Amino acid sequence: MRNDSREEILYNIKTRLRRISSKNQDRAGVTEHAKDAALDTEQIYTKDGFTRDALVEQYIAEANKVNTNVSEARNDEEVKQFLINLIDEKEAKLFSIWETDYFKKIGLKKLLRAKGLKTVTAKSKNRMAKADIGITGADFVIADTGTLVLLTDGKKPRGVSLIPPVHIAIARRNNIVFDIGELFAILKQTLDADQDTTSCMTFITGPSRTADIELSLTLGVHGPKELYVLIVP
Amino acid sequence: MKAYLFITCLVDTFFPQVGEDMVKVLDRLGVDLEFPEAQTCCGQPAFNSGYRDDARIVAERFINIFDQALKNDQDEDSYIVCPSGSCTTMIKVFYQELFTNDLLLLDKLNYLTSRMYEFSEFLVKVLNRTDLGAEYGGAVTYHDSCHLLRELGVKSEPRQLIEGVKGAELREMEMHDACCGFGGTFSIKFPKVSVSMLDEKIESIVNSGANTVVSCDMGCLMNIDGALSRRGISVKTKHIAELLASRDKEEK
Amino acid sequence: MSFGKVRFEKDSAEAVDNKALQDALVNVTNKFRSARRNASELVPGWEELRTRARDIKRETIDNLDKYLVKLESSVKKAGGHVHWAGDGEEACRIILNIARKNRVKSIVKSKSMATEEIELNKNLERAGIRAVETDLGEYIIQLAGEHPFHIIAPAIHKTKDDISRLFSEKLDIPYLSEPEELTKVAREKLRSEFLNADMGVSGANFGVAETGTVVIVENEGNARMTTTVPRIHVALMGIEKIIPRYEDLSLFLTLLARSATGQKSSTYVSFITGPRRDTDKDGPEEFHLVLLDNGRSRILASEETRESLYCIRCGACLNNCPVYRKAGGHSYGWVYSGPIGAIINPQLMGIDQAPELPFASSLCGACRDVCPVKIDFPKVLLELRQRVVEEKQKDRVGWRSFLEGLAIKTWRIITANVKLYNIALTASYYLQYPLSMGNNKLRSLPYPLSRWTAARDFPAVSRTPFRKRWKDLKQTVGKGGVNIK
Repeated sequence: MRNDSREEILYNIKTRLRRISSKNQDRAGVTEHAKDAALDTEQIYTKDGFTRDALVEQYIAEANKVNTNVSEARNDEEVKQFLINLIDEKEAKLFSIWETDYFKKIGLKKLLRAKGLKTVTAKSKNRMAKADIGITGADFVIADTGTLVLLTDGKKPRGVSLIPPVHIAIARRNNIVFDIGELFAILKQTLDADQDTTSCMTFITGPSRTADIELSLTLGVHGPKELYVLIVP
Repeated sequence: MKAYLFITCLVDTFFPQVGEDMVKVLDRLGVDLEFPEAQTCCGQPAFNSGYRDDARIVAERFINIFDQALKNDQDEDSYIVCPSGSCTTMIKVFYQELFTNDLLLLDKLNYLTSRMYEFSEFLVKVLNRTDLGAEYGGAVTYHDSCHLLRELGVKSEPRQLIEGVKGAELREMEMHDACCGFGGTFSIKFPKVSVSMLDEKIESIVNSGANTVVSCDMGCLMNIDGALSRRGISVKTKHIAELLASRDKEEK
Repeated sequence: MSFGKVRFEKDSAEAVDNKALQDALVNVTNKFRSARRNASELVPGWEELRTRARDIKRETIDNLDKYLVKLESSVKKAGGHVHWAGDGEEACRIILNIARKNRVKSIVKSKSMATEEIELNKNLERAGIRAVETDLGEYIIQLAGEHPFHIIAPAIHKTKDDISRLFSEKLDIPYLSEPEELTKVAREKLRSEFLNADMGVSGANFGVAETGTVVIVENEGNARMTTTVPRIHVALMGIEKIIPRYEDLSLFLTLLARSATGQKSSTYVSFITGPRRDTDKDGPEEFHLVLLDNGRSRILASEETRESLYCIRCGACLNNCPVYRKAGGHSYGWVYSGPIGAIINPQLMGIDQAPELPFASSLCGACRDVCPVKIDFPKVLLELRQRVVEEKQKDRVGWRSFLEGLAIKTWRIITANVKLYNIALTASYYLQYPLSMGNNKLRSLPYPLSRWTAARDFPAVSRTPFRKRWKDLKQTVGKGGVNIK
């Protein structure tokens, strides 16, 4: 790694920018104005007065447009039943899961073990490649665009929502936000509190797709071919 | 109210009847008219070709001629009217790029820019007229010329004027705001692409079912008309001034 | 195909004659155009968003050095490495060094225009390292040995049949006719590549200075695979892709997908901040950000064209350009095409490599209407035209340029003097008389106007131009009516 390129590039940039004529705006003024611009965008996007139900409805409508299968469950029993039904339907044998408190609470691993089904660790990419279904939660849900927001950490590996051909995401109603502006307003608070950022945040809006061949839509290119979202209280 | 006419080199040389019709229409509305005879061209061909020094010389001349005309007038209510969206754009939008350091000239330019209008815009925005007593039988479609539409923002005025013509039926074509492929020297430098763009415009015109296509720019119209006549398609082309001057009950 | 001097007129003329290509172009541009229009109409205040995006980009580009330094420190703080590449050659060397140091044998790549700019794959192959494109469109054109045809849909000029034959030939499989089947083949082939690759190379749609986050937008999932599975992740990013604050992403992501394809969001957006954390179970162990200049800082020097760097690579300008619609992506001779290609190719390649491009536009401005950051393409094109003329005059290139210069000089001398102008008007009537014979249309004219008359009639010079009619006209006005014969 050469340091002189860095110095050269920065030097080039500085000298070229310094040739700003007086007719151009005052630098500080522009910066201030643009800062306001960024905040104003928040105003456009943050909308109050949406009920939780309305947000759920909107998410479902948007998700359906992008080939996502959305269901609702009213309690842990219904969640387990939903999972069992889907697992049986798909004849799935191998699973990759998030290991958050929520899944501990509903006893996901126990459920799988009871059916004689195994899980694989995300540490092994080759074993992950053999998994039939990946089961995750969702840190946030964006109603306006039909998007799931997944944050990575030790209990929430990236590959779970990516490598297996079927992805099931369990999303809690309280985590639904109206739009991307609201999401970033929330995330900004985390940033301002100087907490460590996740190595990878992922937005998921439907299953993997392409239209590269004559613009005809095909699902399931490199990511999951099917996406199931279960909305829970 | 007085209007100094900037006729444009294209109309002057090839389509003088458009200039005459513009005079006719303005005269009917009681506008006093003058034609500063020293005028030649706005300089756009050189500017668009990248020859800014040459464009600057011609532009400076334009500014001085029309500045003098406006200032000689005691009449406060003087305007410059031009039957071309692209020439009006050259003067109102692009001239300032040529004179960034000449404050005196910029001053003159700013004043004359504030008094200058493309013909259809002048009729509707300044004279507040959309019915000029014109009559023309037949279905008319309108081509939005690029500079007029996107640089000057003139979109509804020509349409209002067409609708004010007794007997004329305005039929929007599908690709009314697509470029016709003229682009000045673009049509000579890249003729195959230009003609291919023109093909789509002709198709749109024909599909609209109109028997006349109207525009505010003779550059576009000469391009469109050139293809219509070469291909033997019987759609007529008219500048908005020609349409507004017509008093025929039947199709001309 | 390889890069060389751009031959827009020749290549676009061929494209116009290719009916299948023309059909594909109309199809793709129509679809993306109406999708973008519909999506933008659903967003309240869309025009305001565009203005703000432009403001933020201007702030960023006007302070680019400051933001680059901040980005570097943020990435380092998150545990990543930052490299600076002055040009394409250096960028390739940097990436090669990372590969060699880590004994990398195979690389998977997700879509990155910047990696095409620097011809990374070719350089990696020369060093004996396999680099496989994983985006389906890029995979297809890699197999075909071509350059991308469209910024968003690189293989859109190929028919289903083209692709079926290509796969069958290059992958040694039977002919498959359905996109589903072809996609399945690509998925399986590339799956094993992902699992075995030592390194993943991606581009970056945005780089956030505040947090050191690299943002990648996609639909297939190959970028996620590329940046998750291999041990090392290298992201190549043009220095102009920086945005200042994390929250700015809200604005830019809202504009990007809608402008590009009309989607509210692309299927996947990855926000990557450094390598995996110690507690993470997967993700790359090393993260490298390679910052690419390659002529971008040169563009900074010119205030008139600096906004060329605002581009977020959405492709909306291509989809709305009547010239691109006919000429197609390959006519622009390099990685970028359409209006954005017309303005940055000459500036990045050197204006002597692409002197036609600034003129390959009718200046209609449809691009500017849809650009999410409101780049004033006609203004930049006009500025570049001036530069081409200046360059040509310096180098005294070719008889055509010489003649053009002479013609303009002559034109200027005539139009700057009304007496000469009047004489020229009269003279041109008589000069053209043998061709017009008194008709008002000419069917054939000598070069260069022959290029017009090949397909259109040309008007004849009027016997009495307007200025000759004025004296009589003047007599008839102001009398409540004009009497015109």
